[in-house]
Amino acid sequence: MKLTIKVSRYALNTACGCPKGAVGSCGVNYRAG
Amino acid sequence: MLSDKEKSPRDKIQSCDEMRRAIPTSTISNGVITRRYSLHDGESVCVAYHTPSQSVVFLEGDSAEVWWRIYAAKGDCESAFDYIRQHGTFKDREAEPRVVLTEFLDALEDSHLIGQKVRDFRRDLSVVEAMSVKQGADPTQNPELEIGQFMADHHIPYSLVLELTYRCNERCVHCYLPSDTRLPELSTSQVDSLLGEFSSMGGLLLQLTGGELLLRKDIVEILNISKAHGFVTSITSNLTLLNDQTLKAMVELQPRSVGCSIYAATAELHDAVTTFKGSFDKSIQSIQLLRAAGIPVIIKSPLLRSTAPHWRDIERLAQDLDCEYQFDLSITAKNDGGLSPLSNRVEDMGVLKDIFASSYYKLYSRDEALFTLTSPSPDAGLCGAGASGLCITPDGTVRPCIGLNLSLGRWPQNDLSEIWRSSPFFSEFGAIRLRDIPECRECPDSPYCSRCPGAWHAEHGDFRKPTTYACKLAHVWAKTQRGEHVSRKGDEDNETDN
Repeated sequence: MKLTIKVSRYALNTACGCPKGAVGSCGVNYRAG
Repeated sequence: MLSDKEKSPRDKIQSCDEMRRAIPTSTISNGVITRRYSLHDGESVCVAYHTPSQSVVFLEGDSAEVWWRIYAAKGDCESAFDYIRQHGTFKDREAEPRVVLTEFLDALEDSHLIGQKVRDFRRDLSVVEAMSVKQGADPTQNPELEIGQFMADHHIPYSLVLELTYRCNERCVHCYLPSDTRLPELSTSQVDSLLGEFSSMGGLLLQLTGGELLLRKDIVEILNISKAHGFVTSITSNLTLLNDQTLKAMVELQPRSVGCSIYAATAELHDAVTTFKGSFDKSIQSIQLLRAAGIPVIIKSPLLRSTAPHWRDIERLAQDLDCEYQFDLSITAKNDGGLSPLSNRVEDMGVLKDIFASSYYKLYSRDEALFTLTSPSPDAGLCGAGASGLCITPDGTVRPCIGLNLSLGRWPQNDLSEIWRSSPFFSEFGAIRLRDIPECRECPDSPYCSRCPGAWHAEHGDFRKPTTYACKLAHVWAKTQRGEHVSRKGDEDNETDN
């Protein structure tokens, strides 16, 4: 058994760059393709 | 000799034979926020945040189960060890599971989820490096994107934007909120109940915003409530009203970030946008207080006609203040359809080209691979509104997104879980594909498009029809990034640029 984790230092910017601060709710980038 | 507190998990089991037989122990780090999501197939995943170090961790399968057992037992690893022994295939059922557990604990410690080391993350160079924002759009490079996709795929209400008030002490020229801000507001106890319901549904990310939320007399209580429910909380405020009590509550909350709108690097330019004399100095002073307290601050800068030519000064100001910053050119119509903000849009092609050629637009959320990005599939969804999150307005109106002014119901008259489960919006909106939007279907600029149907809806009442301005921004950005010529009009490429 190998236990792995995915870790990152996150950026404070929202993924989509939403100026209204909708963290994670838009997701244009990760749904773009 | 190291004390128990100073030993790493590996030291603890290798220091002597007797210890080798012992089960490792751990201590959950202060500031860890985590949730477990159990799926229909019996599998589970966990998301864990450690906001002081800006760490996000995504765990799946056995890793999720083992982490959850450690967390639930407040660091005791006995249950986790039992799980590893029962579910792994080992020749030596004593030593090998210990190695698996020990290596896992090392990884958790490297991720700041466990351990007792006292760190000053303000001086942690790796954090400073992370703040330069070089993460790509590839979900494998960015767990937050992968987590967002996971939540969307499983229709889990993961994030909530809570607008606490529409009242504001500033009157920004481009504001998207209606001029009449006299809206009933949820009470403190209602906010508590609402957040409890959201948490029970799997909610983890919470964005508190306004209006200006520091105008609420119960804001300290609300920040404490957010902490008690265990959310990864982001705060958006102009910070002009920050005082000792609210600063203390924010420090104790350990927010993911505090976002503050700064429109320019001088009081004259900034105050002309907020139409509130003295606002620049007050906001900057508060940002300095928050940074001194170790709270991550992001300067949010909608770039306007009056301020965009000076964007480099904002960049420098953010660096001087040790803050991240975020530019945005997509000024939207008001939520009620009012078009007055649009006159503040940047139309000057020279300024736009200069901004889009900046390192910010090269690096932000997209790395060098940007140049090789192709247009999204025609089968791609329109956007993620409602996919894994909701927005709730001050009076309890539930929306799919802060940017999309459509009502899905009204809390507390309607249960949040009932809206999430049964509103037809989710299946209907989620079924819209890019191929359904003629302007987007074969648009070569799609990879560079912010594609916000909410902004389209606000401007002309149709979330299937892009605005001319959105298309223009995408076009100029695409051309600039590809090194292609952009005329002053932003349309054809073989025109002279005089």
